[in-house]
Amino acid sequence: MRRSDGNPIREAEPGGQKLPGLAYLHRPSRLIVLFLAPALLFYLVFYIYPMAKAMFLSFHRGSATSEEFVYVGTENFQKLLLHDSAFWTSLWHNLELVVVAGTVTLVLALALAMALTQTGRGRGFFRVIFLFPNVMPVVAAAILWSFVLNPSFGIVNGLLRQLKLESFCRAWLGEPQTALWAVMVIQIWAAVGFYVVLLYAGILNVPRQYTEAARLDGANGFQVFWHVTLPMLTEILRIAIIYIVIGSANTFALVFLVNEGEPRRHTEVLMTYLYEQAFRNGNFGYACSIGVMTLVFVIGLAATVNLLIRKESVEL
Amino acid sequence: MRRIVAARTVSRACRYALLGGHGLLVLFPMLWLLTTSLKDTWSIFKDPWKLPETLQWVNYSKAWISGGLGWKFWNSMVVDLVALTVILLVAAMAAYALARFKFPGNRVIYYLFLSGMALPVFLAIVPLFMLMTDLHLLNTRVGLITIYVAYMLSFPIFILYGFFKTLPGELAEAALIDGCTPFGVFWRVMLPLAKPGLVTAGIFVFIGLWNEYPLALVFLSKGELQTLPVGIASLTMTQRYQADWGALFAALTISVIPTVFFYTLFQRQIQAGLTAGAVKG
Repeated sequence: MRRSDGNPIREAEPGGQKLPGLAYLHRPSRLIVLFLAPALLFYLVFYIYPMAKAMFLSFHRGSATSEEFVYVGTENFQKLLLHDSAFWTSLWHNLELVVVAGTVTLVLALALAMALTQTGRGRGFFRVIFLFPNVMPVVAAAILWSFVLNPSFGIVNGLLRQLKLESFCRAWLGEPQTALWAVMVIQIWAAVGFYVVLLYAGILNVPRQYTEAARLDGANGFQVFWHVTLPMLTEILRIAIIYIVIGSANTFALVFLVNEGEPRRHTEVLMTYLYEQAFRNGNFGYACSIGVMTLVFVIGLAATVNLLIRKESVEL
Repeated sequence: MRRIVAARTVSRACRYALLGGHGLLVLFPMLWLLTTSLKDTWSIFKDPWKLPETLQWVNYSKAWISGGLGWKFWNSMVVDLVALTVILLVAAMAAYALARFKFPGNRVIYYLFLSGMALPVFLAIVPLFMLMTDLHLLNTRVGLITIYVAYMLSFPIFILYGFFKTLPGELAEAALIDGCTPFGVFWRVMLPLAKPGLVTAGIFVFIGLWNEYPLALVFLSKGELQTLPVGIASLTMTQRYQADWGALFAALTISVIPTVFFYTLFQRQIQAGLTAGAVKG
């Protein structure tokens, strides 16, 4: 459950920003240093420093076994962008995960959240079970689905056989035509509950008088949704899309466990490709440049989303 | 009038069809997992849709003992509980300092911590791998715990920062006047008041730790120390060849039950915490 791009953060009301008593009586500087030191130490040494070093190493050539990293300028990036079709395939798959799986996730979540807010009985039950796939280990979800879609004993093919539709049976995760689609289905299944919860809370936050006023003016249910509720969800939808971008860039376990990018590269994503370059091929410098490009991908997409949605809300 | 009533009934039916349909889609694979975990391999292959005729509880003992899942479960418990304790303590202290005191660089440090929620996990994997090798922490529990603490600080700091901000300053002052040390104010007054925040943050961090896979795969892949997700994944690889599918399904069920149970127990806090970053404010 990763969250936030820095923007959506709203702070709590300042209850006591400055405490004169504390500041005056007991030089707080020692306490501040003492309290911040452990967190900063962990964070700077094992998080920020490796991130910075990854950017540095992306301009170097070096492997798991080599003692020294040789500065090669932009060689890694040139190779990556101009001569590496596996990289472009992975990047393209990540983009598909954002655009296709992300759109389906959001539309489905929006429909479910709307249905939830208008439902009396069973609301609590549905809210609880919808989040099951999100809280189970991704590893378990991936393996479970590889069984559900298993060609010989999976229930999907089992159902098709029962319905005498044997010609539609597939090795869903094993065939190039269907593999990525199957991965997207699993991705949507595992993610949608979180967005239902997010949008549900957002819909409940829309002030009642707006929807009621629209009703009184004769708008039907769909018009109220389209012209009143949806525009008021712009901010939450923006945040949701950013989560989807970050989540898709981090997609690893799903693809890695379901078929490790097999059939050959048909489901490869950036993180599985980075893992392969780093820990199978030992190309440490090159792997770092894939990481940097992934960061560029995330920032670029997030900036685009922010730009588009800001424009949209101005037009409203 | 009748048309309106009819339209309402139709829209209600549609709503329940949608909710029920998705509910089924969520629950069905999970129930199938549960029932299949009680079948023997032969009947799993013969008819995937059939319920088990005799309950094969032996699958569970096979997974737990000969599959080595008991050990992985224990490993996960040790790593995750230690990491959770350290994360909550360290995050609470940092959040307290950031939320209650004004000093130069306060905002910068706060946002630096928050940025940890947005960066791709694997971006730093290679330098981190080299660092852990140099420190001789590769394939050790201490190593993985250290990485978990660094990687999972952001969210609890964010949650607890919000809590500490809202606490009234008078309480701290009163405690100080009564002779409490600044550290005592934090430990005896402020931290207990932030308990709901600690619970929310703790639940999220624990679920995140329990399910974590990529970092554990890279930094603690050694057989006898593997955590549950890595263990399940490697068990899947080996069982595929031994073709003991019943035990594999049982293993998978064991890995799913704790988080689903835990979540059901705390679902109120979890639903509230999920939206904390986005909706409130």
